[in-house]
Amino acid sequence: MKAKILLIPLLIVIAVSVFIGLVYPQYSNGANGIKENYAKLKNEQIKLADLQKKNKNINDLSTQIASFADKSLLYSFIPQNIKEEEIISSLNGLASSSGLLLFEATISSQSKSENIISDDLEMNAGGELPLTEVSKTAPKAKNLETEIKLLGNYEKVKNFLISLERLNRNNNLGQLKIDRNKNEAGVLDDNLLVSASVEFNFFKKMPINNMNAGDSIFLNNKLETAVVDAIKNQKNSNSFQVNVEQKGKSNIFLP
Amino acid sequence: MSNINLSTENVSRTSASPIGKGLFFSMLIVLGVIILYGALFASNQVILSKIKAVQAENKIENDKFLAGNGGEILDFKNRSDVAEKAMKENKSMPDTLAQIESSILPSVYVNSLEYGKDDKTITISCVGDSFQTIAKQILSFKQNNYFSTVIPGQSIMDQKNPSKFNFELDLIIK
Repeated sequence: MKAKILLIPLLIVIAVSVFIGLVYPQYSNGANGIKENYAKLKNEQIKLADLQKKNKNINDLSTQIASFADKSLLYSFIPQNIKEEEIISSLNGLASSSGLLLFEATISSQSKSENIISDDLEMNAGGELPLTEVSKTAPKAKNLETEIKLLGNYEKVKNFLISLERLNRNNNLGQLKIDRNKNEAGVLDDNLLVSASVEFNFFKKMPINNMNAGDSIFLNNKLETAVVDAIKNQKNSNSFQVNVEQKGKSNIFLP
Repeated sequence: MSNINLSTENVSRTSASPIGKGLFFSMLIVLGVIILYGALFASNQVILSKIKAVQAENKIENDKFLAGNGGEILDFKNRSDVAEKAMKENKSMPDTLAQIESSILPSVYVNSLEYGKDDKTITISCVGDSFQTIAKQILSFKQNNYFSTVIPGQSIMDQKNPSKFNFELDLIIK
């Protein structure tokens, strides 16, 4: 009888202990209980739906890009490679079509700054920034500075600057110095001596990785082409293409 | 000593003792807790297997994302962003020259002009015919809203030609 009386609280203690030690941790233990695993499942399902939507958007956007006739305008405006020959040819072409004498052109070595996304990844080597934040960083092209010297009158200089502004390859005037020119006798004439530093740029294609998955471009299925339209309307002066017609010489010192 | 029954009625024995009931319910509670644990364990295993299945699907979709045309699309978007930023930032030098042309006085001409993109400043060295003309020229540039600030520099009379006054102005573009 006494043992029976003791058995009841003992069973209750066992029940409470099992509940505390096994049942509740199975429900929630902060790591792999039902509650946490259910949240993880929901999270994975959201990720899956998100990826499926992005892959569908990629297919739609890819079709639009493939059929977008003016795509090349964007790739001419911000090219993938430096194309120094195109820069020299364009500056020379613009100068001669404006009636200016281009007598010096120097292309400086490319700037050390990488595309800003790469910089941010390097800076974030310690993982201080969440990856989604890194991928949101605005891309930035590499600059290439070209110094030129020209001679001509004011109207021609203005025409050159207008043509340069309308060139279908992006450029930005960094420095401009215009002085009145002195002729051989040391007297000021109508010509102006122009020294300019023009920044051209290029943007290398970056490989896609999981960090790019958060990019807003994949969130909708319509290609944004307003910039290309603006380039088409405002930058309609073609760059001057270079072609090599003849090459090869047995004596390289022969004039 | 013999037992004596003092009861006048026939009293029947109760069906179960309170201790027995308590014991029964206690065992029921223990059993319930064990069944609950089993149910939770089984549910957790089901959820875990579902997670594995979704993760496998996620991997397939992720591989599709990396192997597809996403790179081309991202490049188009990045290039568009760079182009848009460049078009917004670039100052138009022909426009700036047009503004200077509209503000310059007929009795003044420019000897040299220098522009720096970083400080958005135009430094011009001009020649006028008097200090009064220089004052008027400063005012004329100040009246042009294209420039946020006009900073006059040195103004000096030409020693060889007293009707010529050389002066410098810094014009900061808005």
